[in-house]
Amino acid sequence: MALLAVSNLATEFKTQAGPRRAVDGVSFAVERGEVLGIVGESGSGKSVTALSIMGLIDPQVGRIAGGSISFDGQDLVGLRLAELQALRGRRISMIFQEPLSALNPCYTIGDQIGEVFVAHGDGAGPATRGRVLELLKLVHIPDPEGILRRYPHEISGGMRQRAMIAMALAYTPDLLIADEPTTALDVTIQAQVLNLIDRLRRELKLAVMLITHDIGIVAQYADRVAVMYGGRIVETGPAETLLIAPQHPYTIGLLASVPRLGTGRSRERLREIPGTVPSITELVPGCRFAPRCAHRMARCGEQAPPLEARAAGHDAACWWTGAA
Amino acid sequence: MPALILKKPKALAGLLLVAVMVLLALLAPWIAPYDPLALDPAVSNQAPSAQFWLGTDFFGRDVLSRMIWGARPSLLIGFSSVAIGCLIGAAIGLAAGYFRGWVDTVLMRPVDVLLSFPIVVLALALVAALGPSLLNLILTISLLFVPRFARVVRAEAMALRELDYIDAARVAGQTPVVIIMRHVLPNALAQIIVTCTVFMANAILVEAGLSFLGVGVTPPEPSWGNMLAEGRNNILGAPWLTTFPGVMLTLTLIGFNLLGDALRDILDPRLRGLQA
Repeated sequence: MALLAVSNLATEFKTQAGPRRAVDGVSFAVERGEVLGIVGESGSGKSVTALSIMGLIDPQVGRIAGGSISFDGQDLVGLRLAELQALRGRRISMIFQEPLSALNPCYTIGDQIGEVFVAHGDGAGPATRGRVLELLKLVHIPDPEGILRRYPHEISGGMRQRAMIAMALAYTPDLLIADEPTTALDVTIQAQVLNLIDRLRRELKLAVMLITHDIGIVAQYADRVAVMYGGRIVETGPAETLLIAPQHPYTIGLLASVPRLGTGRSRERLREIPGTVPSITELVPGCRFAPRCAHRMARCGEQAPPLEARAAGHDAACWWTGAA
Repeated sequence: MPALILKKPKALAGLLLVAVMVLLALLAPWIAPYDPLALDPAVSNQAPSAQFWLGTDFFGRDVLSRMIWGARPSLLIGFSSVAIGCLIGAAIGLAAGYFRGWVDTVLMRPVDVLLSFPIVVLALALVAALGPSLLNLILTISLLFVPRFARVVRAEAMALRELDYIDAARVAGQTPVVIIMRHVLPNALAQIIVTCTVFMANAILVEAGLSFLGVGVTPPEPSWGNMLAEGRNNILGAPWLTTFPGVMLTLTLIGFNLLGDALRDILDPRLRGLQA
């Protein structure tokens, strides 16, 4: 059984026009030791999916309207806050896009990582300090003793993200959700941080949900990929086959918009997907990608296509089958 | 931070003014030349002279001594009512701003009701009901500042709760109380400190106003407010009776306001260094 199985998840937010779904019937699974890449543009619902799993949807503005999130056999939807708190930081961890704003400016790195142990009743003290030091070594921070006493603004972006990862790994979680972990970092630091996550995944048998808008990162680090658009998964499959033989026009468009060197295409104008992601308040009937799609058919505007198998473990939600 | 205060002339002026007033209040028994309550009809309504530097009032009491002693109720009431108001108001604001929803509604509606009364009207009504005593004055003025603190701190908490490190703390499994105390409060502290200094000036002004109206510090105990009230009848004949307490009051308020301004600039890293 998969470690994390999300099925038919629907998360809605209050809007002026009434409740609208930012995530609408999303299903996927992540196994131990596997990296699932979730790709999509801003507003595709990928971050909301992550927040739903962590139980961080602000009840003032939204709620999980349906579906289930099964983690190690336990449904996280409707779990009491105290039960969630016991899982968070211990068995499920999350790292954020912008490590500077995800670290409290009032505390040193050491205190901040130590807080995780305190939160789970392990108290502060010399033993905790030792564990924090271990964590900093685990994420290959040079001079861990020095960093321990530093404030977030005193260290570089790459170091901050490593400190965030160290914090997330405090209890060796089963599942790590990385929400755009490298978007705010330089390209060289990006590779270091992603290699670190990849190494930890193998060493600690972590299941990783890697959320990104960069399909290049997914190609390199993910075992399986789910492409999201308009709150739905439009295509999912093993990274190799999905990236080599994409079935959904949106995935094809995403891949075509990545610049490549030395393939003869480098001098061509980059191809973009016309139009923008529909806003949450826009009600697009049928397939949500239809208004921007080059292969649009009459049917697309009326009926939403279901996810259907195109190859082994490779599903796409599209009426058009011309890519195969 | 102390170095930063010393570098700014306005900040230094504010700090000095406040320090002088606090010292006057603390050292009153030793530096006041006369007993502030001692009556001497022989020297009634004397103008400032070498013997009585700031003159005497109708009962022959030394104005300088009364003015020095008068700093005590002003500062005591200012400090304690701001402290109490801040403690309760900040707690309400933190809870309301962090939890939102029904907690916010339940906590903030009474706050809004209190805010809808003009300060002096509410204070007069409360002191009239409770009876004038130092403790009642402090409690009344505290109550005036609870809703004002709650509003300011709630706004700050609402802004802070949206930050990533609050999410990060929740993701790490921390409980709401711990998140509020260890993550929201420390980051709201700068705002709270600045608000305290500004409200201190307001509290002192309210105390003076109530004493002036006769429901504050009761004569013969001196306070700047009741000295103004007593001197008012003879403001042309003996202007020293009203001028000096008025100047003290003004200087104290300027001091707290300058200090508050400077602290705001220093504690807000975005403004630091912008103003010389």
